[in-house]
Amino acid sequence: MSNALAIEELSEGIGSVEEILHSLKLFKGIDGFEEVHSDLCAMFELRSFSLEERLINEGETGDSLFVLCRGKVRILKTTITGDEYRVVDLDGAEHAYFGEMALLTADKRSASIMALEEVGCLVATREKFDAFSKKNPLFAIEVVKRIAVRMAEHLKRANEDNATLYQALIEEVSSGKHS
Amino acid sequence: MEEFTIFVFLRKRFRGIWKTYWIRPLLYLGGTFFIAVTLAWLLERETNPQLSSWSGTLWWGFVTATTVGYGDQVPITNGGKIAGVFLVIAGLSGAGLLSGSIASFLVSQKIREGRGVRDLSKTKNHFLILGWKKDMEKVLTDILDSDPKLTSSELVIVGHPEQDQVDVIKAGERFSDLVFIRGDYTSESVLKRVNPREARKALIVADDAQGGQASEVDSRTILASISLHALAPNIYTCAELLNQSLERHLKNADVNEILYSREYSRAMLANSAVSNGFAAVMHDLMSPASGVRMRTWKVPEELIDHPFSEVAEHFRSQVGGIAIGILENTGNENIMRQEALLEAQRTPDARRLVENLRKVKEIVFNKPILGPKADYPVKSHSMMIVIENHNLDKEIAA
Repeated sequence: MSNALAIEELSEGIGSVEEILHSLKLFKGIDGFEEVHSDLCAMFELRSFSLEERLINEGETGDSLFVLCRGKVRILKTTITGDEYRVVDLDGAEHAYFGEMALLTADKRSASIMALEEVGCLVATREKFDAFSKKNPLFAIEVVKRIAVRMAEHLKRANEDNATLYQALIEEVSSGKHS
Repeated sequence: MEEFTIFVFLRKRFRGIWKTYWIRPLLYLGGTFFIAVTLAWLLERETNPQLSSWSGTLWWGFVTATTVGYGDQVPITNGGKIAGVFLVIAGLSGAGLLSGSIASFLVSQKIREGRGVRDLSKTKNHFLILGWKKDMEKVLTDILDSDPKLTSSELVIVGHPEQDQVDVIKAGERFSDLVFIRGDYTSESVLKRVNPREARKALIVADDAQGGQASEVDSRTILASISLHALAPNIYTCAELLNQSLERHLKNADVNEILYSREYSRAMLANSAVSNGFAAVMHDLMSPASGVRMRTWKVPEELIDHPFSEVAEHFRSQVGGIAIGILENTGNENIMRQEALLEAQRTPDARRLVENLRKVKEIVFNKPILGPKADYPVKSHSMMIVIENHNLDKEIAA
């Protein structure tokens, strides 16, 4: 939930939204950034999260892109047996972003994100992105391309993982007797 | 039709009872008792109001036969008195028969025990020793000496020694309540009798009482491990192996610890050829009488994952022992494997997962890390290997 007071505080701590967005790999270096920047900033909403609040839950369908602006978060995954573990901790200063695929399609979240302290995020929904794309199709196409490239990388990684597991399984079965 | 089967059933049971040694004397005595009572009643009923009813005379008969003799009923006629005499004789014989049977039963139990025939289905938490060694008495003495909490009644030995060897050992005060079962310790049917599932530990010694080459002895040991684990898959087993080349078979039989007695003897001989006084060191470490003990200690919860030097210092100040190393992966193997598996999955990276799982497969249980670096972490499920000198306590006490 957005809290008016909190937003003011956050805004001061964060600096220019435009600068942040400009630094993201998602938007950096695309032609015509100057023309669309007001529309782009309007696409985002500033939200705050308190300690141990979850920004994203693994397995949920997402519809928003999150850009971390301030505070630390922890990425968590669960094993098949339901055991939750920490993958990595991220700091707001790095301006990490997650869930960009949700801008294109209903995306099942692959990990949970939990706030480790007071966290401030810029959030954009798929709906708002659709509206933005209609108004600024050329810019939007570039953004979509970059998201698609990222997806391709994930796919490649998934295929490699598959091959690793395939191989390991074959070795297991062929080695026969257990120790 | 129903009557027929009951009749047949009764006859079968009856035939069995007829064969026991006590049924005929019992019937004779019983018969004598009742006949005497009836005769007395017949003779006394006219003249003696005390014995006028048959049931009253029956009571008198019982009181007389057991020699209680309350005195409230007394025969008057001579015939009645004679009947009384027969009652007393029958009663005394009956009492003798009863106590004799009980005594004979108990003695035969004791003999069977000595011979190694016993029912152990209710025994729990016992220490199983399979196999017999020529110097078994010394072996047992050492076992009891090295663990002061162990008593001889907790030892259950299965083997095939000479009977007089067993008798000699059991005659000794220390081992009088030792449990011994005679039989082939490699066979499942024999092992079943000693309730291995409830035993705390099993030690399979290299049985030299039956003779044979080292490989024959080792084969028996391997066979015994296999049979034992077929009956009790989780029992903690130590086995003595003479020939190191056969260790793979013993490992396949899920033995937890292998004692290479011949290798150790050879190693000691070799070492004494090289360094002086090594034998004296080993003697002090191994012998329970020296006051020096090398043992393993559980690591306190709060010191897990702390560096070796820190944990060693803890033991030095608390226990007065010197830690020479860590024994990793101790305890319940199944639990440890489960924990390691769970830990292995805590990564999103498939390659790392495969690596972790391989490491789980390769876990070596009871792995000693002797003389580690000061900062080596003492992981969970580890124990500290500590040398204690109990002679020092005596000095302090004095």
